[in-house]
Amino acid sequence: MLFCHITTQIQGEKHGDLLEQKGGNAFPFLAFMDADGNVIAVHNEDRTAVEFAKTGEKAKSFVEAKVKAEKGDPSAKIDFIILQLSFGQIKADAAQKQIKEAGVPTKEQQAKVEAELLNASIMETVKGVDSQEGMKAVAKKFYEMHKAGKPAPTSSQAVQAYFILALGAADELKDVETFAALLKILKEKFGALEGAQLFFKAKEKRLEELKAEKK
Amino acid sequence: MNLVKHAALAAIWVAALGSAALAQTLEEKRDEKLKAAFLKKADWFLDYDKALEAAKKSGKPIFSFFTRSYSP
Repeated sequence: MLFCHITTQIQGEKHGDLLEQKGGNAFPFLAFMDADGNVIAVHNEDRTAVEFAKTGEKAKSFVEAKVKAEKGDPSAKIDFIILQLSFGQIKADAAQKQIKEAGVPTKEQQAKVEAELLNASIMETVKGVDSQEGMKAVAKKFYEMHKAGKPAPTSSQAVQAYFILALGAADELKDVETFAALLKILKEKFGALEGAQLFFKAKEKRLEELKAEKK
Repeated sequence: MNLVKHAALAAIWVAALGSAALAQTLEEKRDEKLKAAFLKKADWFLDYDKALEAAKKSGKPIFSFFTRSYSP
């Protein structure tokens, strides 16, 4: 169901600070909530019908999985932990511990667990950075992971963080081939976004500069 | 009365009028936002408590859109 909250800044209005309560800090803020008002998922993907539907399906699965998990179904418990992990509701180490306690995941569940653990790990790494030097170190780490052929993250936020930081490291190291490869990946994923055009224009220009420097 | 006093008084009047206009404008801006076309295209709950109540009855999650009216 659809709920629209309008922050009016009118003094005394009921639920005037609801945006802040729900963890939002900018407009528009799009989120799926359960019937208790808990935020299940924040929609950070593109604002298209297709992406809304995907997040909506995830939210619906979350509610259904929660009900099943609460009834004690071990497989449903694991599904629910995977969903909590994908929504950033629990950290990677807590999820791993809870999955061990819940039972043995199926092959499909295990693949999902590994993908979501990677996404969570990347986001936790980035969020833990509190300095310019720290960010450079993380960028280098992601660059090395990519060079080593390690699996890439799959969630939109983790993909952006991972590849953009790795791109920065490739630039710093003047690794033209890797810079070009990372830029290509980013363009494939986000090239159609209007808001990203200035970024890509700047990076294309930088690629040409790096190529010229190499000659 | 000299120019400085004139300017000071004018500034006080502008501030007083502006402040009265701002409170009124917030209400009007909210009312304007409530007339937005997208709100007519589907059944939107505008009351948070009623949305929660309906979600409990239906068992469906709530898609929440947070926007503002006090500023564009």
